Amino acid sequence: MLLVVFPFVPELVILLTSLFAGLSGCRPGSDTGCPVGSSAAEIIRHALEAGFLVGSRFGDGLAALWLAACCWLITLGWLRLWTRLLLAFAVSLICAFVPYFGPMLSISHLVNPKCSPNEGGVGDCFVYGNDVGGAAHKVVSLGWRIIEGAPIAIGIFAVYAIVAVIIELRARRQAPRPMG
Amino acid sequence: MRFRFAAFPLILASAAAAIWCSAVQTAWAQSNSDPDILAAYVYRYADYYLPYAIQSSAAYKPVGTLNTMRDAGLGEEVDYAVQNAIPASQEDLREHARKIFKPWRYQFGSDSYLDCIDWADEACKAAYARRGWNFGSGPTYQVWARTRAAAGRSCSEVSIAFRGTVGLSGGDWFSNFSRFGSPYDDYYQQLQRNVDTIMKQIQNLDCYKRAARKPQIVSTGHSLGAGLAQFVALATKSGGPRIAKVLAFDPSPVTGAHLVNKALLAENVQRLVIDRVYETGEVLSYARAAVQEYPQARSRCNPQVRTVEVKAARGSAIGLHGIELLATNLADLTYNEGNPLGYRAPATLVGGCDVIYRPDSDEQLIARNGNQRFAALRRIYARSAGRLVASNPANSALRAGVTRSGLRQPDSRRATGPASNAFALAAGGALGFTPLPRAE
Repeated sequence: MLLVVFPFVPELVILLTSLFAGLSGCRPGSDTGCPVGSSAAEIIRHALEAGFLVGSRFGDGLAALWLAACCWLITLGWLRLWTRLLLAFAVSLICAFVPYFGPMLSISHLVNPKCSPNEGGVGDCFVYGNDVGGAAHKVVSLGWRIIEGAPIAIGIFAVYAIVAVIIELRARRQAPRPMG
Repeated sequence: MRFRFAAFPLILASAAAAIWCSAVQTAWAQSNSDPDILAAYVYRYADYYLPYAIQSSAAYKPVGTLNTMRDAGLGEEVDYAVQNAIPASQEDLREHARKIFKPWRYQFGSDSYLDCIDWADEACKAAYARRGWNFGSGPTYQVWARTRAAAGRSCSEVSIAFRGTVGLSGGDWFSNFSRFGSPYDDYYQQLQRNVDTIMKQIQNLDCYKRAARKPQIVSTGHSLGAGLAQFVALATKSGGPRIAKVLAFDPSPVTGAHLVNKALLAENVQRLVIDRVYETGEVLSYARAAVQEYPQARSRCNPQVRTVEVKAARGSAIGLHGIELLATNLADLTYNEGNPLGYRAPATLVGGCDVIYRPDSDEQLIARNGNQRFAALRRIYARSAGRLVASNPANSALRAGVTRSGLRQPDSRRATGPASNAFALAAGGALGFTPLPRAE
């Protein structure tokens, strides 16, 4: 579970920061800064940069290693074929979409008249009184990397499904037959 | 238990294969890029592309703001569009871009869901009745016209500029991935049933009617917008006015051609020109190499597809995919220490393939004057020949390295070697001299 959640820590940081900012009475579109930690905007900007890095590396191929590791742990931890396949499918879906769209979705509630993230990189993006523009625009374009990431995830799941079925068949064949 | 561990190497091998395939795909995509206008020579044409890059950038801003400026009639939209295309730190470039963009005026636009603009259009009504589900959002476009004050407020060219993806719009992303069709009433389908009404609206423009010679209609846009710009050129109905040229910046591999029937498609691509302008290594250059929808980049005639590579920045594939960066670089490539460089429009007759589009006579005039300026500046360029160029920063943090006056400060984070310098390549090319960009 930790392995699945780990790459998406930046998104969780953004959500938690905005939650604390909201509880502190800050509004995303306000002109004044929000003193959550050093500054809510700073934390969000850094988290967006981190999310962008994770998404980029996943698109570069890290997704394959991460998913393979998840599949291995699923094989060790669960015995039933359908449970393994279902879990592997769920993790593959997460791997196919979240690294590329997660950072963008995590700031969806922060969009305001002073912040409209777009793939053209046009305009500023002021959140909690500070500009996070460059990072916010970049995570929009990150969505395009699903073109590379989704086939990797689907491929790994397909391979795992074949392997899991073979393991199951061989395990059944080698299981001791009931006497009589 | 033994089987479980036996499976692990197999999965790891698959993962390694996936990474390898990913790397090979990237390398293949890079080796497959064979631009028609090389980065080294793009400065000759950059001034020509700049107004369309500015329009594509302005398309990201609300249509309502431009409508207000148009109604005021003071031409404020020119400044507004330039401000959105070129960052504040590059004030001298903005001034230069204003001069280039001055003849253009905003006419009309839309940023809402397109049901049927003209409910008297029966074909549109029928298509609307068959529509799929939707997010309530539609393609954003803005129509600009190149006006001629000397010719009784007539216009010589009308441009439809489409907006690219705005982050959190589900409609935008569903349209981005409708490569093989979708049950969703995406922007391509919305445009398909309304494109002829938009063309009629253009024909009804005051400046269009006043023109002695029928103005050319072109389309432009960035990313998703560039895909939509190509689509309107492919989908206009038979018999009406056609799009003469598409200027697509960092275009999406999706063009919507799968929605257009073959006969109409064959008709619309006759003598059509599509210029695909992109920053070298931007994220969609790989996607285009892998899954480009018709027309392919190798199409030489009907339509004539021309790839124009701008190599004026370095950065990540995603960092390079921005119209602000591209517009700023195009402006920078045509400007040297206060002196605008001459330019030319790309050739219209290539390899015997005739096209509808003809460069505006104003542009030819500018090009001639520009050539004279070129000759006058030759000595200055020769003196400065050893200077290196820094690329335009891809984000605001790097832009901070640019002073208020627009002169760049040395920045150790930026590569300044010959590989990053488009002009460095030109020095060994066919040119008699090396035009240099502004001083660092």
